[in-house]
Amino acid sequence: MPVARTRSVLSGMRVKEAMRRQIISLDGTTSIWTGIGRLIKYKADALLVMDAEGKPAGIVSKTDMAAAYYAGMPSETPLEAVMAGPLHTCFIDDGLEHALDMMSSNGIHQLFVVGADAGRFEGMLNYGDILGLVFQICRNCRKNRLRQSAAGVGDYHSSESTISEVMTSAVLTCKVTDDLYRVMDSLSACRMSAILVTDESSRPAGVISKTNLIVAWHRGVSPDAEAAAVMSKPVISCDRNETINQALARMLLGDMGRIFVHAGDPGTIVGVLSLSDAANHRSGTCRACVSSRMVN
Amino acid sequence: MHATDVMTTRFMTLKPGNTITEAVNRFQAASREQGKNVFGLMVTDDTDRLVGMLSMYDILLFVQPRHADIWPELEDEEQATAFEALLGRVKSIRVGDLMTTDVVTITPQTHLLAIVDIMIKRHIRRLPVVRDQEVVGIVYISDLFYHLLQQYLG
Repeated sequence: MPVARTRSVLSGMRVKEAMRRQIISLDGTTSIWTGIGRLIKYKADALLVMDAEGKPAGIVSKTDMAAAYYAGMPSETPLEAVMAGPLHTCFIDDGLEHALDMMSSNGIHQLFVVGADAGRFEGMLNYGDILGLVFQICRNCRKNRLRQSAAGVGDYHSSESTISEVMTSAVLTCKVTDDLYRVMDSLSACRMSAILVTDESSRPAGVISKTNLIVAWHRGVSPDAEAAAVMSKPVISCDRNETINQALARMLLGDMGRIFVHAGDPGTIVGVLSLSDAANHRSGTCRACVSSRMVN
Repeated sequence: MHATDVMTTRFMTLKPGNTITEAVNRFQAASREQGKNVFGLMVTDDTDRLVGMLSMYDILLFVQPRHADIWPELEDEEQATAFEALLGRVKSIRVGDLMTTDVVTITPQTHLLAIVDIMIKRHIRRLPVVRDQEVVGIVYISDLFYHLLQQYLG
């Protein structure tokens, strides 16, 4: 009996097509403060930490740094004191679906890419890199909504997957007056990368991501400070009936790791769509692509 | 042949708490005052001690979108809107967040050829001149270049 195989827009694509070559690496004796500066400047999510012999020794992510901030460690602490290991790697010729499965099953957000020389990293791969490729493929697809409407063919908007199908409905929130300890407690307990900050009327007032937390630490802000002191504003949100591709465009172009979702009123947030949610959906824009998953 | 021969003693500085908008304005003002393009400024603390350097490159690095490769495929109007949104993020960033803190400095008595050596080997185009922890000047590669080549080549 024939067995159904699933296909997605990523089928047949290799890691080397989506990965980025730039890796931000620092010596293990470098201070966390300097490491945070590099993460901010290069808009990176993690640092590769090298040992005294110049070999990869571990990784320090924004999550590791936020945990060190919470623990009250001085920002002069060397990176090697907070680095994590072992390093998760994939091969440059691995399929993107395999890489995505690895990230998803290990609960990690990036992989280091190994080429022919096992001792040398060729680059890094994260959810944003994969989605950037999906975005390009879908934009150039002959079934692309914009091309179809330009050609006067059907209403392809209605055939696209919408945000509400993929978003996470549980939204983590805190008050503007909550201190950063409470913010970090919530983020850690729910394994989320950002929290929605609400005002006294429970309306969205700002967002605190792990980037905001490490920037605060870099500036010497005490974890006793109120959420209002470090949050980003305004809260950028989109309607749950918008297409995934529309949300993806806003996230990728705006360098956002997530976008909040409303149901018509931006003053009431009903969900959040992260890059990992969108990546694990494994389709770009439309059901034409979703239906093509089923072959044989 | 020492740093004092070529260093500029009138210079503008930035503070770590300055916004990037303030820094951009300062770059323009410094360029006007110096009569040449100034691509990097020194950052000093409240006691005027050097704490870092900020260059146009540092700012551009931060402004550059992560997914720069998808931008050329967008329509002009989409690009303009998206870039404006992207720049909104820059407003929350301060000079101290982006500055380079690992700064190579020289003293007023550093020999000009030693300065050339540092600039070539470290790919540095401007060097703060520090005496007793106080910033007393800055040496630009262009000033050094013309001083050495015009004066000694004739």
